[in-house]
Amino acid sequence: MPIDRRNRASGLNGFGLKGFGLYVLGLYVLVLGLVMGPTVDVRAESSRPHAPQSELRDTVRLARDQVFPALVNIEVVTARYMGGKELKGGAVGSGTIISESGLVVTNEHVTRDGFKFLCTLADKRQVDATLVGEDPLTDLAVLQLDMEAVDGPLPVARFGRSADLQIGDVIMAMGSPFALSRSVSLGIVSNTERVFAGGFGSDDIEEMEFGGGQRTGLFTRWIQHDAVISPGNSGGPLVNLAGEIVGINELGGSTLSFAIPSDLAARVTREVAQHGTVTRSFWGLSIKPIRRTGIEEGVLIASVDGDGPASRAGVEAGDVLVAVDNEPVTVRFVEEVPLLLDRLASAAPGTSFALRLRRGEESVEVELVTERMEQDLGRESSFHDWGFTARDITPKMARDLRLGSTDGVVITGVRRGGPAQQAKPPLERGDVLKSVDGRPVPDLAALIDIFRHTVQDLLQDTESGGGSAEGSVDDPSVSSVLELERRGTNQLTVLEVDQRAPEDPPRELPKAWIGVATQPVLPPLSDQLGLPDVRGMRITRVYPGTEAEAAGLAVGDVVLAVDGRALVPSGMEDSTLLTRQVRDLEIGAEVGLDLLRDGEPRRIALPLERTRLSRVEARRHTDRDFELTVRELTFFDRDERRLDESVRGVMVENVEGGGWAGLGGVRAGDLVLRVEDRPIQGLKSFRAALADVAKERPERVVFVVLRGIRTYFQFLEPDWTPEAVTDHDDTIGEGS
Amino acid sequence: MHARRKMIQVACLISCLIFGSAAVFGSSATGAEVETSPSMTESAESPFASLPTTYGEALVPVRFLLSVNMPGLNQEMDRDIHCLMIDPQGLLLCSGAQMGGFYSVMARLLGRDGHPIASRTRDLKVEITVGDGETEAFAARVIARDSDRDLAWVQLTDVPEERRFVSLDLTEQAVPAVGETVYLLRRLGNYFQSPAVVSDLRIAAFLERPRPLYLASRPLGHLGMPVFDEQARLVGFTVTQVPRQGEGDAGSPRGLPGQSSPTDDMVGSLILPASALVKATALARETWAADQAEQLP
Repeated sequence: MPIDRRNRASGLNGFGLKGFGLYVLGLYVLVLGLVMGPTVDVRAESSRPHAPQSELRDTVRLARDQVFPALVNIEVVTARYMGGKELKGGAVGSGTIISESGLVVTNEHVTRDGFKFLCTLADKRQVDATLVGEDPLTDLAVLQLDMEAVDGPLPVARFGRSADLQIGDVIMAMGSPFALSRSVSLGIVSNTERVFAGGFGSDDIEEMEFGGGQRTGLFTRWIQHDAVISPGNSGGPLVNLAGEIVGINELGGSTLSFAIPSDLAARVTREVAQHGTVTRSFWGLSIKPIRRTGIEEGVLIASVDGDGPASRAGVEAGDVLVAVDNEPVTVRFVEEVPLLLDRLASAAPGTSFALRLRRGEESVEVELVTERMEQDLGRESSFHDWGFTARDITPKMARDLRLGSTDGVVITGVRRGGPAQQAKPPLERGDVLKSVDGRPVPDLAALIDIFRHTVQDLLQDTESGGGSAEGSVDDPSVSSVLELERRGTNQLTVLEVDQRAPEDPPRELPKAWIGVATQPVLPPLSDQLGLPDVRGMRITRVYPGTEAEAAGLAVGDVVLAVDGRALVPSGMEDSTLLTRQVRDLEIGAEVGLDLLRDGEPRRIALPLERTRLSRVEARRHTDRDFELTVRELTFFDRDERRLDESVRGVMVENVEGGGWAGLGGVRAGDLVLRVEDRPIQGLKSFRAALADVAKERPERVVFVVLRGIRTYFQFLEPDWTPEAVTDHDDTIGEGS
Repeated sequence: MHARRKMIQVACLISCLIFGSAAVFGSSATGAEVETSPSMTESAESPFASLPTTYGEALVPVRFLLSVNMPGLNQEMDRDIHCLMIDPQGLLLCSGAQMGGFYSVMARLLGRDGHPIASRTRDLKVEITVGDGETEAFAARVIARDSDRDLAWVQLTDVPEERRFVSLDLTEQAVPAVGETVYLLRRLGNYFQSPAVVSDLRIAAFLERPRPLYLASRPLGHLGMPVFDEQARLVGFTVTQVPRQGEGDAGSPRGLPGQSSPTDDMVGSLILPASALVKATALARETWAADQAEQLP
């Protein structure tokens, strides 16, 4: 009988919140009945309303205590690549300790792009961790806790069998939602074989991506449940009432939550823990369920990669695979696809399979030898001094980009205004870099090596005062010839790295100035002041420590003329008329101001002084380690913020997004008062303090800054590791 | 369809340029002779001919990297401008707006809100023509600027002591009359191989505020270039005059609330009198000397 959607809708609308609440309560009672089985008499509920709740609580507590102590909160410092540069950031996820040796299982999308990991254990101990390995295709990763920092035995949780889960089973989701402290939510299993396809009605599950071209979910049938999970829960365990991990939470929203089944997670985790990666076979084909094809048995070969194992074996798109090694194969529904893909991929690379295919009316037998399945995406790195990011080329990328081989690295981004963009011709995203100065670049590791030798070493020589003519103190620049493959053409370009910092802004020509701020006196203000016929400039502020203050000018004085030359403002556009009138006069010359004070005319003489240093011409310093620019504190900064002369420091003018200063909470407009224990008097002491810090390389660097009326204590945690390739660990100073 | 239409339009434009040029140049071709460039009809004494010859070499290309820092934009960009050599020992007078990539103008217009906008120069190189198509590059730095007058001074820093450059003497001045024809010397872009060329215009008015200026009879289109009278005496230098925040016309239709907005006159039709250049340049030298003294350890 067809469902009457309108009736259903009206029924739901009439259900109301109260009804929904009752529905949920009833569901829990029902769930409790299912869990406790025949020992629970639902009819007895009304006479003992708290007993089932109490039993549920006890059961949940027991299960919780099996896993909760092993739950960890994971903080990750990430380096992602965008626009040709590295952007540092943070991520927070959850994980579970699964071995006494300190292995932690979590999601790959928690650890992705991470290079620093900090785990907070249940007892609040904070322990650094290192990445053991990742498996993006299943979104799983394994971390190793720093066991030297762990005192005493670790609580450990164990995997249960996800295959035993049934729809309706009670489960708990544990983790750190929204990066808050650990929490537990309760729900039931809604579906045990959920898959995600490419789109509505699509059967192409392997097209699912987690971003950046990285596929995931090929081998996964997720456990769908309704225990609430939120960002931060990722990587946390899904726990059954026996206190076993039956899934790793991965996705969620509202009451739809999805976990990777523990049977898959346990297998992948074991292999990653042992080998750092998962070895799989690559077949070079994709499959599609036979529903809607009119075929009764087998699985449809949806596509075949050119020059892949299937192609070489003679498999064609449109064939129907009916048996592998004489074992019949049938995939009718999309939910069955991950099982077959997992089975095919699980064989050791190089395994030979006998395939029986149906091609039209014909039966075809072929032998397929698998290859090793490589990662979808290669490793990426930033080459800050060259101004680009680049990625290793995997076989999949080579196929997708129609490259002849995996030789070279692909340019993934070019920094605006960087050397790569200024090269002639400029580098472009998608270029394949083949060689540098005639030295072949087979992969990213080779490019990193070349980069170190051609750029960093020379520029470090520059810093130390050595080096040859090129890359010397006088000429801290290095040129390299890059060979690129671009849309079938072979191009050469010269990339020049110049470490010279931008010049300080030039000084402005000095102008004459009176140290006051003014506003034009125009109708109706003049009428209100009782000076209906008066036009002039009313003093709104007398700057402290100026000749104007010394001469006795006061707020409220209306200046009518300078040396007899009338000041007649015509509108608000003349708000700086007094300033403009004296700017081109001689500095030091004495002028007479005709003014009205309390309606009485007066004449005050005072010497014109030189304009004070403006913000625009203040000297600046850009620090590459912390990625911020500071400048001198000017007279007008002091005046605007009401800072007296005793306050010293440098103004933060700019903080790079994704830089260490930005991550540490330093903002543009902050006044840096202290770095570590070094008071900052000005640019010179700031430079010196940062130079000292760069030598000492502490784990944390304290910036004390004044923001508004508050003084803030900010921790900056730069990565000082000597791998001098990426932005964050760049050891090159300012060069000149 | 859209792309196809666009291609047709571009093809038409190219055809028009080709055939239009042929029509212009074809008219002077006779018989087997084909003239490929127009001939010079002005006399050698004409400013159109004499100014490029006399002072063309004083207009020199300055290349630099402009480092711009403002919210949402931190980058370096190539800049290629022309400045006027005003001292045989390598002092150049440039457009302040061009040296700042117009970001300095933006900051001025925005007033307090413009403070986060900062532009700095790096790696200045000045290319001097030393022979037939050959050039010699010199390092340089900006030594001072005058935002009010839209001027910047650039000093070549690695010049051999005995080296002298073709330069313009600022003291050879003239004060034009309103309505008088004057001559703008400028260089075309690299696409044309940067020849020095002259355009004529007339003085439309004298302005007193915000400072003495000449208003040109038409937009000049080139900043930081010298303007001469008929006798090749310096009349002035093309500049912008952009109001600071609060100084702009209150009722300007282009104005943003609380901000100033430039009008065409402010950015394209103004000539700073030569007398102001002499005084400002002297002050620039003093400022530079003081700045250097201040930086001595």
